[in-house]
Amino acid sequence: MLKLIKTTVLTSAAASVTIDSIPQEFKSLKLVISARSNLANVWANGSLSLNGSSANGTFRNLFGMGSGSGYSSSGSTLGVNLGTGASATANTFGSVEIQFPNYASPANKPISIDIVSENNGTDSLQMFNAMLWSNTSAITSITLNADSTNSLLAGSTFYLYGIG
Amino acid sequence: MAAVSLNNKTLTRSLLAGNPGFLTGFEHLQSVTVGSLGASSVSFTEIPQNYRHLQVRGVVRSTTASAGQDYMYVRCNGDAGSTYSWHELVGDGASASSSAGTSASFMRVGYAPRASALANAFSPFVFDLLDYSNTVKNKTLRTLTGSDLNGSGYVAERSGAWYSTAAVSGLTLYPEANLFAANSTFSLYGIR
Repeated sequence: MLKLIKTTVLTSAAASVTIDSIPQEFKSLKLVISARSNLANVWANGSLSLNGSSANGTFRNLFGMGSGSGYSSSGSTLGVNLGTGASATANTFGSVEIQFPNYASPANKPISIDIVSENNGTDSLQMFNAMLWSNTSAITSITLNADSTNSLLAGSTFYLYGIG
Repeated sequence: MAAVSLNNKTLTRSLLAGNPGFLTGFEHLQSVTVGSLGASSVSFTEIPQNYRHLQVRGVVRSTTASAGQDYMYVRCNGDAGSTYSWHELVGDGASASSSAGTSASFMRVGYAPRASALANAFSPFVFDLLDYSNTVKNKTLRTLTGSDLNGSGYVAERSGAWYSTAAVSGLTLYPEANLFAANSTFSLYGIR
């Protein structure tokens, strides 16, 4: 069963979007994002905060940028790309899907993320990201933060689904 | 009238008048299975506009008389102009690479094993098209696909854009060359 829990549509630019009071009766959460930021790049760097915390995150990813080889990297943050940036073709938004399996369990939380930006030019991002939030608290809120001093732009949409 | 299973306490509502019905978030809209003569394309038309997103899933093979695989492409609303782009991250079992097509006349989506490839091998694809009825955004799709032919093949993540703010009311899928082979199947879902 897939059930829409909450929809957020930005009507003006925002540095972050928070989805809180997440119900605990589902097995997993799926967050679907169609977003664009004003970061001067083709894609939009950003980060997650879970239950208000950006600590205890690690990730490793596999990605391509429209030409050349594929790449892989890792880090110790909850960093996540959130779609297209201001250098991408106008009115074009990225497509992101974030999975939070067993989000209400008393174990550390694995997270998987599938990210694409788009742009009518060679540069674009296609990325898989495996993340671990080393925290045993149930996830009750998710915040998506634009990078640094940038903002997520009007028209960006965020859909949180519960999977029964 | 509603029934409750005593085994798992699942509440099941009938579709009789007065009941709220099955408001699941993921609903099947249309399916197509290619017949014995093959098909040059498969189209979903008159797509309802009362969902938030669309998902298309399928398995594909082509009639091209050689080994290896063709690509599968998609267009929106019958638009064959140079109004698309696509990007891909591809692995072949040994290394990864990425490439792009810009001002293209299609979005590259899937693989279609050819007629002389491994017998009965069909390649799967799933793509999501978010905010498909939004009339402010260009349309972006995200695809996961692959083609394993028992000794060769690819896995790919692809994205595509249609540079139009029109609502998507039709999708046309077609192989790079020749026809979709018999038993290629395509299903369209609406996501609330």
